[in-house]
Amino acid sequence: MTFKITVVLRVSGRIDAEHLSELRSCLSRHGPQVVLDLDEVRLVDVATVRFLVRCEADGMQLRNCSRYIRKWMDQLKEES
Amino acid sequence: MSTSTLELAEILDAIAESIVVLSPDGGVLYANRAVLEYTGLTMPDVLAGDFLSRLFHPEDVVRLRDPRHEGLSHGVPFEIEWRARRHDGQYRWFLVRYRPLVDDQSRVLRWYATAIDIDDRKRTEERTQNENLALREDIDRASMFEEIVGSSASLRAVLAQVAKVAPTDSTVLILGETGTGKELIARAIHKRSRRATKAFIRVNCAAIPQSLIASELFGHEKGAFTGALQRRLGRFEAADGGTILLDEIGDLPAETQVALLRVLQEREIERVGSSHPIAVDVRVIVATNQDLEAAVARGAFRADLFYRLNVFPIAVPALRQRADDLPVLVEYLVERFAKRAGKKITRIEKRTMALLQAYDWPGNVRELQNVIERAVVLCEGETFSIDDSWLKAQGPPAGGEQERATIEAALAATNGRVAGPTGAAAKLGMPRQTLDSKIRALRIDKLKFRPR
Repeated sequence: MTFKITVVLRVSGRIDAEHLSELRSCLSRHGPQVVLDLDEVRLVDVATVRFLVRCEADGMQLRNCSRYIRKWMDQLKEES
Repeated sequence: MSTSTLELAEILDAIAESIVVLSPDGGVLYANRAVLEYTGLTMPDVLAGDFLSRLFHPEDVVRLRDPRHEGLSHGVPFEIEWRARRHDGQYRWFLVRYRPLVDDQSRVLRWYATAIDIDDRKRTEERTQNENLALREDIDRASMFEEIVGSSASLRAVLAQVAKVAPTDSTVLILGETGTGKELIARAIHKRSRRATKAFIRVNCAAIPQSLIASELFGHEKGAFTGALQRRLGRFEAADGGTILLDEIGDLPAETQVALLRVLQEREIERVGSSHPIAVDVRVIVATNQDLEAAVARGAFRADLFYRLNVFPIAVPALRQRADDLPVLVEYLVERFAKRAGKKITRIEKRTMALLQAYDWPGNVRELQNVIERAVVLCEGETFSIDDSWLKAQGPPAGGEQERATIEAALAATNGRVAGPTGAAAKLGMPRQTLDSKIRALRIDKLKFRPR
């Protein structure tokens, strides 16, 4: 029997450009299977939205992403 | 009562602090004179079974029954803060310390409870807590768009300017209509500067009486004018090491303009009533919705001050100039206000979004915020919607006949094509999404302009 271990990284509050390097290093410690839970994220900036777009493109699962962030991500994807 | 017990009781009565002796299970056995004088009760009243409920605030009796019981059962010292009723019916806060008297087998024989009046401290704490709450709400409101939700070209240009000017110490002049978020831009500059850990002080020059503004900005010495009963530091001194935002700078009276010019040139201030200059290290950011050049031309604003302030101007776009950001902003605000109101809103009505996108927003983001907050409060289901009349009542109607004619003319000229470099949106100089929304709101059939 094999078990698949999923690491869920839950972030909260606001994330902006200055937090991204720390978030990136946290995520990289756990490999591509990590799930990013955004349920408690209150505010993000455009740099973070771009980062999330890249994460998702790389196959990362974003959980509980708020509608405004999702809409913003879609908008940026359309623009690029 | 033995002589030694009487003597002990007299000693306890001589102590100003309130002291109560309790049995191991918390029953009252004795209270000193301070307790009787404070409560207005007699010793038989104190010894009656309902002493606790007669003495302490009903809320505290319920809230603290269990903690008290638990404390008594553990046999080690503990403390509880209670509100005790004074003889005149007023409640005051007391810190009651419970200490056990134990025998050689660690069995509790008595509890001694001493009470210290901490009412002043508690009231100050409550006041501070309320002030903190109010300030937090203030900050919360002010920081709702701190990172400016959206990625339209006009907003990106402003943020690029913010990033460039923030690390410098240059004076910044922020221009923009009411409600565009000028203060947020100032905060963003402060946050990205080397002064980020120091104070950010905002002064609304239009909200302070002209006779008081110099004292507010630069402080005053005791006796500088009638009512100056003590020395007071001004906002510049409070902002030392940090940033000061002078909002509505166009309303600064002429004499204060001179003093501000001096601060910018000399980096020092003089308190009102003093001729002693004080060095200050403050970055100055000013903001206005007025045309300062026009104010200079008509002599209402000093030209030399304008040149000093106009080092790095940043023009914050109006909401109608960043229409592309509107859908994301609306989603963000709906979510935020819904969370605050404890509501679950899962979708936004299409017609509502079209209405919001077609509106001109003369009051900018602040107006959008107010409309959404109102709609969220009134929203009963999970779908967010607004009433058309709210927008029409507050500004020009979305899409008058003239606007319809202009759009139809543009569609006719572009064969019904909206997007692209040869489309109607480009012709009208507005984002495609905005034009699409206006077309929907005005119920224009763009297909009829397509060549057959």
